[in-house]
Amino acid sequence: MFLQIVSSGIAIGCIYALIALGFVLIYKASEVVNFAQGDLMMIGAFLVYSAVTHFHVPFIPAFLIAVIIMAVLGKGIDRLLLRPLVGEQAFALIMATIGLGILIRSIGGMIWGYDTFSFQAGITDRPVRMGSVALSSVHIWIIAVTLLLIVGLYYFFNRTKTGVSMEAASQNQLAAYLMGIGVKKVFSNIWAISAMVATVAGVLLTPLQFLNYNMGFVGLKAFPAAVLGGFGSIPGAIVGGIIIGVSESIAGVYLPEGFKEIFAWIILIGVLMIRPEGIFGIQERKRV
Amino acid sequence: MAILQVKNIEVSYGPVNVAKGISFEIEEGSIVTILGANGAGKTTILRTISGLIEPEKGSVEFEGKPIHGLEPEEIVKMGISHVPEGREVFPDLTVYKNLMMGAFIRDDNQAIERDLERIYNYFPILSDRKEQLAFTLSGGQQQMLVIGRALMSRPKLLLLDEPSLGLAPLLIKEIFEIITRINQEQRTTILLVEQNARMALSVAQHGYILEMGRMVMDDATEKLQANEDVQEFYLGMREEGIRGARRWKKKKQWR
Ligand SMILES: Nc1ncnc2c1ncn2[C@@H]1O[C@H](COP(=O)(O)OP(=O)(O)OP(=O)(O)O)[C@@H](O)[C@H]1O
Ligand SMILES: [Mg+2]
Repeated sequence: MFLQIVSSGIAIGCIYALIALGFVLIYKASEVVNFAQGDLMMIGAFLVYSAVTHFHVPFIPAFLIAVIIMAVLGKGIDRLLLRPLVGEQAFALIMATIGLGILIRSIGGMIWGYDTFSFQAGITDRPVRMGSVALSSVHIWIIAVTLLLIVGLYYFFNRTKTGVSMEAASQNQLAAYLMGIGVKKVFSNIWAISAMVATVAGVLLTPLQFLNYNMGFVGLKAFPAAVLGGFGSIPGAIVGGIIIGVSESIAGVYLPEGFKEIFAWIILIGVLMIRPEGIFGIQERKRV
Repeated sequence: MAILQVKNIEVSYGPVNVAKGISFEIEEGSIVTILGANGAGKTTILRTISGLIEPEKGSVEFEGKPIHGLEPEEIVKMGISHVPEGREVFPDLTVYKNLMMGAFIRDDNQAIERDLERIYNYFPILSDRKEQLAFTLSGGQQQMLVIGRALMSRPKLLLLDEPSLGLAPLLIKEIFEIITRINQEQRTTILLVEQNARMALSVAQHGYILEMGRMVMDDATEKLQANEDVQEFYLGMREEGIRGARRWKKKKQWR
């Protein structure tokens, strides 16, 4: 029983982690907190849903098409919304992404309506026996895909020239310019990657939760996850997401009704009070 | 032949005019220094050359082609590498990756490996520390790293902004020796901006003196070293027996 609770916590935690990862990538590069990350996830999930149910595209191609569309959308947001605001105060940028989230949600509602839809994303839930415990196939699927994606991103940002140059531009813009790294292009690509990761998160969420234009609110839970991890740290975002997911799922079983919903926020406030730099707190080290 | 020609550039930050019609040129293969006090506009000149800022007026020509108004990445590709003031490393990348980012614009992997070895040869400490994150290096090591990184793009012209700032005298000497070696062994032309006039004049062949956004003097460095005003205001020497009162009155002759 306890193992099932933990595995379901890890599964939902993976989704928080992926959304938090999107936050962190953008924040690290441009110090913009993208409050629309959850709403991008919603659009990504709906695109896959529409392609499969309305246009009868098989799941894998539908997913790939959605990822590409989302990458273009991410680049568009960077170009049309963020780039004109370069140099404005942090407050203006936050308002811009909050507004963007509302806009995306409204457009989502206009296109797909306000009902909830069920979409299994090519995976059916059945118990998988592992020794003496039975885990949900959906949870295993979510955890496996997340792991794969994280390994892929790790490889990209640490081992490929393009990835390292994006990391470099996130760490020191001026130096990146002087190396000949196209910093604007890097930001654009970071938005594309964030939007693609959001799509994966959205698709992974669909077996757990109904599709709805409001589903982006799950993304708010990724915010405490990112803070817990130190906001500038990718491993931090992943660990933070999983901690939030697991503790929430344990709280849901062992604590009175209602605690599950607010547990992430209790953790957030706790972290901000005790260790505001997060568990992987390595920010503010741009200069020695 | 002049590899770089700057003609009458004017630069402002908002309403404040900081480069008021600056002209100078750099002979190919030489080391040229620009001396000036805090706020004279030295960094502004380098930023204008490397494309970080655009001059309002005037022109910058590199190998005879105008480059003002080009993006920094295009200028690096043409062969100008700028080492900015303040040791701008990539703090959370290893020394090795920092150096490789210097070669970002290049694809010739074998030649890149050879250049890396050459830089490890100039700065053996970087080789010892290659897997260490850059933020863990000392100030002097970071300065070596940013110079090494700039060389990884194989520049024809290297712009150095106060490489000696905040370093111990022994390290300063070491860095200037390496700058001289780079100039002689690689035939890299160097524009060196400094407040440490003594060191700068000893390695450069030609010097310019910048005050409040204007070039007020330029000459071969031996001549500058012998010049009374330069001695007094930049080399910190004073004639014996001058009283305090006279120092106040004394006007620089170029004013
Ligand atoms: N981004 C900026 N915005 C406004 N003013 C600036 C900016 N950068 C420099 N200045 C001003 O322009 C003038 C020249 O600055 P610059 O950095 O070129 O001087 P510098 O000779 O490099 O000085 P230092 O020796 O202190 O590095 C200074 O008065 C400075 O205050
Ligand atoms: Mg300066």
